[in-house]
Amino acid sequence: MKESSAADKMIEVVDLHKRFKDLHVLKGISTVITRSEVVAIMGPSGGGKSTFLRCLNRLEEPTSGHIYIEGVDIMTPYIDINKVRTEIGMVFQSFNLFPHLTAIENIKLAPMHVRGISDREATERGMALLEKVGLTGKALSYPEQLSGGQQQRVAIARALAMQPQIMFFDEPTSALDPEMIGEVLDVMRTMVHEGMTMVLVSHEMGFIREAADRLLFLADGVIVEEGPPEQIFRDSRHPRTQEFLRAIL
Amino acid sequence: MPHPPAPPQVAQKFMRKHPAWFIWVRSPGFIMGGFAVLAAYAAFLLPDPTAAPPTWIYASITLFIALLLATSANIMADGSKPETLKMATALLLIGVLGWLFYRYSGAQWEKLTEFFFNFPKLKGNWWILRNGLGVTLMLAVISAAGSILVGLAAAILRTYNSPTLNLFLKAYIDILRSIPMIVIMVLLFFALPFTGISMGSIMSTVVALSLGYGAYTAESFRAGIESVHSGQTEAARSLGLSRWQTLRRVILPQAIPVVIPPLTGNLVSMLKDTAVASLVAAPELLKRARELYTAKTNPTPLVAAALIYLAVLIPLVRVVNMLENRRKKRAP
Repeated sequence: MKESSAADKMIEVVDLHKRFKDLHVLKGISTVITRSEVVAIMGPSGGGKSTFLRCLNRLEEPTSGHIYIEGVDIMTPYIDINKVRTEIGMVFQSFNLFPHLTAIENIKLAPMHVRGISDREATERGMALLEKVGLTGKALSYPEQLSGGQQQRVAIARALAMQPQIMFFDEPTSALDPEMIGEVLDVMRTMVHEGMTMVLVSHEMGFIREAADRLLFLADGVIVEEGPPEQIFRDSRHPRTQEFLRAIL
Repeated sequence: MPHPPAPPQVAQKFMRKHPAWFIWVRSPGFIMGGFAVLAAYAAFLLPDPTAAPPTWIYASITLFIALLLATSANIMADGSKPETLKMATALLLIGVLGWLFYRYSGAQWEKLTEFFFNFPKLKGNWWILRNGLGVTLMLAVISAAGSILVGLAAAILRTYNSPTLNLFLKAYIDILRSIPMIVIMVLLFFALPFTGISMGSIMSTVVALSLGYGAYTAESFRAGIESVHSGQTEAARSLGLSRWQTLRRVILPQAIPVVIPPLTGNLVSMLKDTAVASLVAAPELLKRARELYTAKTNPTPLVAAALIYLAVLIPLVRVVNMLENRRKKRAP
C-alpha cells in the first residue's frame, strides 16, 4: 500500500510533535494513510494515541510537523480548519452528543449551520442515516433517553451527516457495556465495507484483526511497530509490543 | 410509652432504652401539668409592671421564661410527637413572649403607632409612592437588561482565553465587584460631570447598576459556560462548527438553564439596590418616601415604602427559590 499514487494519499503525517509544557507526548510521528485504508492504533495509555488522533484535525494543536489532508498542508495559517474538519468525522469515547437536542437534531445541526442545507433536506438525510445505524424509531429521543450503544450510533450518524471523506474513532467502544459493543462495531463494519477511510484507536482486537488493513503500535510518543494486525498479533518484533499484547490477552 | 415494644428478634444490645423518669417527663400528663403550672404562674405570680420593684419583675419573668422554654423544648425535641403539636407549641411560645414584651418592655405604644404606623396621614398621597414604585421597577428592568448584556458579553469574551483581554475583563469584574454600589453611583453622578460627562440621575443609576451587576452576571455566565463539558466543544468543532456557532448552538443553550437561578437572584438584589439611587436624586420609591417623610414630618412613609418593597420582593424571592429547586431536581 505504501506504493500507491499521490492522489490516493488521504492523510500524510510528517514528523509530528506535540508537547504539553514539559511533557513530550508525540516525538516525531510520520505515516501515510491511503484512501479506503482502515488504520488501527493500539498502545499503552499515555502513549499518545488519542493525542495523535486529535492532532490530525487540530482539536489539539501540534507543536511541530506537517499534516497533509488530501495533499493540502493543514498547518499553514491560511487554512480554514473548520472546512478541513467537515471532511473528517470524529467519534468520541464518551459520545459527546448534545444533550439539549434530540437525536435527529444532533444529526441535523452541522449540515444545516455549516453546510447551509435546508431543514427539510437535513431531516431527510438524517433519517436515512438513523435508518443506517438502526435507530429510526429514536429520532425524537434525547440522548439521556438512549442507551450507551444507541448514543454512540447516533454519534456516528451525526459524524456521517457531514459526508466526510475520513472517519476518526477515539476508543468508540471503551465506555460501553459489553453487550452494546457489538451493535456499534456492526455499524463500523458497514462503513469499512463501503470503503470509508478510517483511523481507529481501539483495543477491540477481534474487530481490528478482521477490519483493519494496518496496525500502528504507539508507545512513548513514537510508532514502535506497524504492519498487518494479524502479523503483529501473531509475532510482534518489538519487546514493547510483546509486553503490551501479553498484558491484554 | 413513647415507642411500641420492640419485636423479640431485635437483639438486646441494639434496643433503645430510656430511664423511667425520662419516659415520665415526655408523657402527655406531665406536659399538660407543665402548661397548667405555667398558666397559674402567669395568672397569679407574674407581678404588676407598674407597682412591683424592678428586681422582683426581672427575677420572676426570667424564671417564667425558663419554665416556658423548657416545656416547649420538651415537646420540640421529641421525635414521636406530631408536627402539628410542635407548630402549635411554637406559635404559643411566640405569642406568650410577645405578650410579655408588650406588657413589661415599657414601650410607648401610642407614640410608636403615631410616628411609624400613622397610615391615615398618607391619605391622598399614595400616588406619590406608586409613582416611585413605577420608577423603581423601570430602573430595575432597564438595568437588568443592561447587566445581562454586559455580563454575557464579558463572559463570551473570556471564552477566547486571550491573556490581554482577560486581564482587562478580570480588572473590570474584580474592581466593580469590590466597590459598594453606592460609591459607584455617587462617582458617576457627582464626579463624572467634572470630566465633561454629565448623566442625569436616572441615566447614572442605570449605568451604575448595569456595570456593577454586569460584573456579577459575567461571573454567573462564566460559571455556566464552564459547567458545560469540554467534550461538547470538541464534538461541535470536529463537525466543522465555528467558535461562534459552537457557542450559540451548543454551549449557551446548555449554560443558560444553569445560569438562570443565580441570575434571578442577582436581579432581586439589584431591585433592592435601586434604593441607593435615592442618593443621586432619582425619583424612585425610597426617594419619594423620604420626600413625603420631610413634608409630613412623620416617618410613616418610610414604613409604607418598606412594606411595598416587601410586597414586590417576597414573590420574586419565592420565584428564585422555585427555580433553584427545579434546577436541583433536574440535575443528574
